Amino acid sequence: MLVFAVFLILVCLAVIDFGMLYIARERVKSSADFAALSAAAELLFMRDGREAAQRVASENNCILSDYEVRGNVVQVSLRREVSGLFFPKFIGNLRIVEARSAAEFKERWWLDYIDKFSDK
Amino acid sequence: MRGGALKDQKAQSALEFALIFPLIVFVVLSLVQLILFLFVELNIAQAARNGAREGATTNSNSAIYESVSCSLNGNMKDVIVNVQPASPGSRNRGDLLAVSVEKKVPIVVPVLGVLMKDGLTARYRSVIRLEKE
Repeated sequence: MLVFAVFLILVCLAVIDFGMLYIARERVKSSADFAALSAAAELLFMRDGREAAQRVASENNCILSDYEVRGNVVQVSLRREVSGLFFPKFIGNLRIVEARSAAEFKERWWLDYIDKFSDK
Repeated sequence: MRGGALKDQKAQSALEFALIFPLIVFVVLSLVQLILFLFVELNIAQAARNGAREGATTNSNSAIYESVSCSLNGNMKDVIVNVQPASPGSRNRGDLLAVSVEKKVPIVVPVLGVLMKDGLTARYRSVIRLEKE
């Protein structure tokens, strides 16, 4: 009976820690999406996308760990440290949650111009 | 003699059960409370994220509230939505828009209700760059 009670308490603590990790993962994912969108919006006007991504990341309590522009696609990676309450030693590397997001930007005015030109 | 020993053992087991059972019930109910909190927290996160995205593309507070309400299936009881900067007129393209959503989590464990008099609140703040002026 006592063993069962201890097991239940351990399950409870594990749920707290892994629940916190799951929530942190969701937060980092949405922050990465927003950072990528911000960077893409800045790049559309030939401005610095990294700074915008960094600003959004820090406002969402994340760190911009990677930023890459390839053609019309900007990719950002965000990370966040999660402090495990009960099993910090057991979950080890899982304490750092990372998410990657990509956004594509299209130079609309230029594409519209080409479309109009080709119509004529 | 053997019957007496068996009786003692049964009595000891009954005592152990009586001592441990309330603890087990408390732990199981706490687990339920915890899962409920995580569920609300995830719903709130989704609502704040959708609200922020809607706000970034429309720059309208009513659109933000509507999006949050829609994400929470219209259940806006005990929900507080805070938009920063508050006035759409004071927001410009490129500014950061913060949407915070708070919701009180119902406490299902009576003992926890006594311990946490202020109740449990799930909070989420989402910050996005404004795309529309």
